[in-house]
Amino acid sequence: MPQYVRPTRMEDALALLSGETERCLILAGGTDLVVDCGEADLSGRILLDVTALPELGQLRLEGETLRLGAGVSFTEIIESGTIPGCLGLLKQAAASIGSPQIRNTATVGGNLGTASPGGDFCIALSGLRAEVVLLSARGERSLPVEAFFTGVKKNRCQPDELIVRLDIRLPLASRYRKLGLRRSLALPILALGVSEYVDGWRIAMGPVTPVPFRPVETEALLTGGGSPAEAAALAEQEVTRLGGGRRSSLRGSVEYKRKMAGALLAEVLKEMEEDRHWRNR
Amino acid sequence: MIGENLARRDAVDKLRGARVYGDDHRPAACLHVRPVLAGIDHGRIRAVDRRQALAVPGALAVFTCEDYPGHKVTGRLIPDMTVLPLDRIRYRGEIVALAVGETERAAEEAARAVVVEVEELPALFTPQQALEPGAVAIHESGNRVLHRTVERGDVHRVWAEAAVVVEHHYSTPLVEHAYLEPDNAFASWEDDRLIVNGSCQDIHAAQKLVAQTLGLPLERVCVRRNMIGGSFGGKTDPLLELFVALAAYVFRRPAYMRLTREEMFRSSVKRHPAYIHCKSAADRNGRLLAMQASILVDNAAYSYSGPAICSRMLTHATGCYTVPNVRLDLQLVYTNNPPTAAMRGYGEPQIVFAVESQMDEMARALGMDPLAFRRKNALRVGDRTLTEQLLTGSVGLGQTLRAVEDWRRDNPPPPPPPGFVLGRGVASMFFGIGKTGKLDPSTVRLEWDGERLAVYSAVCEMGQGSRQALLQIAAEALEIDSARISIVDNDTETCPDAGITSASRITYTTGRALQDACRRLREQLTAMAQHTPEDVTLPLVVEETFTPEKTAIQLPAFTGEPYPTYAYATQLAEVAVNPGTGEVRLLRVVAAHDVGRAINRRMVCGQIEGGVAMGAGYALSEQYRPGRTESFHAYILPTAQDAPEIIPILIEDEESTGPFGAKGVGEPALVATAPAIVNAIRDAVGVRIYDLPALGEKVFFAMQAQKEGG
Repeated sequence: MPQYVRPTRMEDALALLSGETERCLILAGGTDLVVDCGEADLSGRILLDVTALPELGQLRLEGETLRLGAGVSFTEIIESGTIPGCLGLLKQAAASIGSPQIRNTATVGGNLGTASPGGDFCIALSGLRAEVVLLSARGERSLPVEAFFTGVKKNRCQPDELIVRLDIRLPLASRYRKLGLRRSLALPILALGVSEYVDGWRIAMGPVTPVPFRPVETEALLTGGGSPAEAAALAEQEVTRLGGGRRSSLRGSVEYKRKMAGALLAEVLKEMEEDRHWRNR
Repeated sequence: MIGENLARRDAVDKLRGARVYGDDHRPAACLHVRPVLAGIDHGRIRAVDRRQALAVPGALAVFTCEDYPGHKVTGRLIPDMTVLPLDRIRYRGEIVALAVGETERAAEEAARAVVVEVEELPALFTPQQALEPGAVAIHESGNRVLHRTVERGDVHRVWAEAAVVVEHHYSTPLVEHAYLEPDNAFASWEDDRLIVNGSCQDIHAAQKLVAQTLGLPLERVCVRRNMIGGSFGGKTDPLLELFVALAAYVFRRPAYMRLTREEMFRSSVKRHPAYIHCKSAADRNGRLLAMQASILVDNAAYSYSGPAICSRMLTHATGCYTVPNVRLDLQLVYTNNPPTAAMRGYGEPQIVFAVESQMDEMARALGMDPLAFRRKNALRVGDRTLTEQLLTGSVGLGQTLRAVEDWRRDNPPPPPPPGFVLGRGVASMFFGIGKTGKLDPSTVRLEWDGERLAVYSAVCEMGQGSRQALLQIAAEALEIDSARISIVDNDTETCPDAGITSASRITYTTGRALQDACRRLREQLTAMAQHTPEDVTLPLVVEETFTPEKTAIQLPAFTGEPYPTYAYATQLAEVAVNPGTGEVRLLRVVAAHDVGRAINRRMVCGQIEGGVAMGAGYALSEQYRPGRTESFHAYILPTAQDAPEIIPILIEDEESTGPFGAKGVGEPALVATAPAIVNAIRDAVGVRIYDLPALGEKVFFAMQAQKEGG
């Protein structure tokens, strides 16, 4: 049987994590960990339950920044009155994950920690200007989300570090669109997060590359005033130019994903334009 | 009582999560059995090396086919299968050997340590591949199991004169039963009798097979059925029962086995894929002139019910219509896919998908409304079916068509969700009740003790509500409170053979035997009431067998009366399709079903709802790929979010030979749904999907192709 600890103070959690790095398994919602562990023999391991650490549960606005704790569940995001309308992307992404039961326990930090190329929140956060804040006994550091993911199921969080929170700059508007094989409990065929800032657009999509993909030319086109139709065509081109990809994955062929990059972006931009009109009335 | 929505007796326990299923009742101290799966698609078994396995602490034995002392052939219709493979592996998930251990862990470790030396052979995955000259023979008899042709009139005369001719190729995939309760069984000795507790749809057949494979006299084997958590035909053939029986037999100790969900995906039986090339023609007034179909059915690694499924497919291959000129050609072919066997619909989901797509295309070509076109050709009392059976009554097809027409008129299409376009499609079907052309009697025994009635019949309650239906039939027939009646159905010792619970036959066949038995009991009680109490001997026992009237199908003419009666249905599907992405959302399904008489209306609606949901999965998202879809992660069932609003409409065109007029609904519920959905997609965006499932990606590229071509 593994050891189980649930510290209520961050310093205790970090001390354990630094002192027993190889033995620790970080447990928040557990929706990935429990499945991954399966029937494995966990004797000798320590389940470090971080759900009692107050820093991880924060969800608050500080000026133009939303501080989103890594321990916040997707249901909390969906139901939060704190998250402003311009961060619609977060709520839409949260609502698209799993099922109600999963959303009740799964957390932001868990999704990022697993770093799956199809991880809805990995894609969503990559579509925003966000910083990932990491904490260890050695201190705190933060890095932009585009630097956080390094490969399939790989990120820059060190074994003795804890993902504490996301600091997200408020955009003017944002949306998330996911295309799956069904409407619930579905990993994405293709998902994209789009946000519009005063000085530029940001788009992230996946799963197309090992880490969330940013079609930077399309972003530049939109920032420069390009039309949704032009943006959609360019996005399709950028994804096509990537090449590679498994010819026919169970979740959609390469050809379909390329087409959907354009189609979904076109839909999202259209919706954002309608929202803008409605807002500016 | 009949038609009443009495709550099911097992509902509360099941909702509360009470300990009702096999796994809940396994013996406390038992041996565990774990399977050794093949891992290759096709090969010769050179040797099975048990040494490392037996060295595992707690490991007791490794069994192969040779360890069965009795007659090893278990193939029911075709003797092409043994209880464990003798010398050949024919599919990737095949259970090659069994490891027995003191604990499940020890057995599992031992199973993994078994070394099976194989000489790999080329593997084939479609009937087309298997029919190519020079293709490896999967069985000694060759890859073609069966070849049937049916002819009526002369189709060749027709094509030139017809107003419309529609020709297309259709295909359907392997799909998984995905019942909620994975397979499990246990066995133990009681004195000198071997008691096997399993999940089999036919416990008498299981009893015979256990006795036969162990070389035991029938009286020394008893099979009891645990409460089953869903089956859909997948638990037709005993498997784990045979495995635990051997372990218990050899070690004289209780033995238990269960399969994980992954093992179910890899190992269990599936629905037959079919490849159907259709050509159909009609005249300018909308009368069907001809239907031609050449059908390849994937028999996979072993036959199971393949030939019977093909019989049903053929008898229904021209749809629920009168067609004067017919040419059918069907071949059943081995491949190295996981075994295809009985699954809800038994061949009809495949053929009706093709036929009803063709009907839709013909209606379009004629400019006729799809329901009107069907009505013009629909079977009626006085018509003859493809096998020239005269329909003498209870043909509610016309009423189902009218019900859907009325609904359609009264419910104009709603505005579609933003970014989507709406479409509606219909499909009709009929379903012969009972085994195709095979005698399938059902026996019931009643015991009346003066106060309470016990009904004994080995019917498989698998969640469909057979117990409840029989309860209500008995209560109505005897005019007593249902609380005084118990249904006993799960023990070969006390329950007479009801025949297999499949072919949607139980309500009709066993229900009728029960109704007849109750009538005889009443007669006896009435006669008894005229005597003095001392003359009465209780308990009164009445046994009754009902044998539905039917004849075998005569070959080569393919004529006969293979079913005593037919169920009919028409369904309408309403979909929203996103023209930008191909996504299909199923909004509503109207399902009008002629069930003869609904014994419990809510249960019948439940069957319809479940069938429609299954049909929706078949139409839109389910495809089993060996080696690739081995969990619910990859095998896409519809979730509650994907389920449509389902509007069941019950039509009761009473069947005079059925209990209180009842026919059946279990499988009919499923058959028309997929074509209705595919027809609705066609209506919405102008493209037709010929190969199930109709994934969004397929719809998208079909639309692309149309834009570029047109």
